[in-house]
Amino acid sequence: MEQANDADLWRRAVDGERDAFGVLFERHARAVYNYLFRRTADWALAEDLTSVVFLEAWRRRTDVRLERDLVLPWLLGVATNVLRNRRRSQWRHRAALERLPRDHALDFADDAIGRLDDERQMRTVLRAIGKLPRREQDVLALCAWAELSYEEAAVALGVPVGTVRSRLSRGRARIRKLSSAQGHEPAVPA
Amino acid sequence: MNDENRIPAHRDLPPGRLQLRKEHVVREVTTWDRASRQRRRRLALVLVPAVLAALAVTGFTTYALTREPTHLESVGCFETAELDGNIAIVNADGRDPTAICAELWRRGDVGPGAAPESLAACVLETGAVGVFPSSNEDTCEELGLVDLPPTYATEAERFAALRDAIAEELGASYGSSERDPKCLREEEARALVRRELAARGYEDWSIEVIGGGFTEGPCAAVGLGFDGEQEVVFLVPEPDE
Repeated sequence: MEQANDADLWRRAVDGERDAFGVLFERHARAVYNYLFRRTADWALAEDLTSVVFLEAWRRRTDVRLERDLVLPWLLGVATNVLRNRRRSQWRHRAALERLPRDHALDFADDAIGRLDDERQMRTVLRAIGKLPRREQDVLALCAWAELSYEEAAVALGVPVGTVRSRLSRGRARIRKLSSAQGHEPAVPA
Repeated sequence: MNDENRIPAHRDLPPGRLQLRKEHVVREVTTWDRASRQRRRRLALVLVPAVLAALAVTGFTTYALTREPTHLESVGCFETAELDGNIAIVNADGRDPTAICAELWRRGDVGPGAAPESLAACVLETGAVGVFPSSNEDTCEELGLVDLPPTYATEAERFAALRDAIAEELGASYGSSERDPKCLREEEARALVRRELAARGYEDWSIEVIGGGFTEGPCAAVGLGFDGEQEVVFLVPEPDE
């Protein structure tokens, strides 16, 4: 099953094969988790929201539109919506989150300092990016940070590819302007 | 890029957590599906809110000649062309009642037999709408009832729009539509409902709070019920999960 492509796994998951959904989780949880961290600057929150994204993806599974048989762009689209409606999403799935076993022995003591550094660093970046309109932030995060193609970002956001290009272009220009005004290099590669 | 704006590198989930999260998510969706199947079956049989079920059932068990349907909130799908037969009561949704019951028949929720080839919608004594298996055009008359008047479609659509608007305002799930619950204070909930009633020409309707009331906290998620005969909207504060 590990060799099956996303589309096949998704079809099997929707047909009730829970193992197929588990394989999709293993395959994409890391990317979703890192995307959520880069949007929130909080590893613990990103971890909880990763669960929320997959629960929400299951709830909306009949809406799935796969780009080149890839589930990840769609999952990152769900993640973007979860971030936008964070309170609502967490409310909807609060009972499920409360049922998650909390094993603090699994906490990441070894790289705790590294993760705290990450969070501090990411907060600085988000402060700069936060000056952009939300839509431009979404496109920048998907294309520059999650490394989606324009077409995949378009699927994630449910907008035409041209809209992705123009938002990305405007966002980058704005970042360059803001960064140069502050004497810095841009947080997003031009 | 300067160091200040460097993006932190990707990391794995903490050790053991990927497996833990995976098992949790898979377990949750499996449970949902099971619960959803059970809920669909249960709701198909009596889709009106539990607190109103007794009222609704009473509405479908007696008969006499009534011209106008007044219970626009629900439809009774009768298993046989008899007034004392089994009934599946469901929320009306603005569609033709025969279409609603045909869908229930197809899902096997009205009775074990094959779906009837045709159905007839009649007005019961209480003003409720009953849909019966039909073998000719006189089914309602043969049961001592009258056919659904042509005005029903407009009134049913208007009522469904009111119900949906109120449910949207309150964040209340109703029938098969699910919404995000809002936590509302009683006066807020009443004001929202009152505004929708007034805006849609239902000024005469009253609002009643039933169930446990808004007693457990400053606000509550609110369930909904309707009684078209008495012209009442019921607010049912729901305890938090």
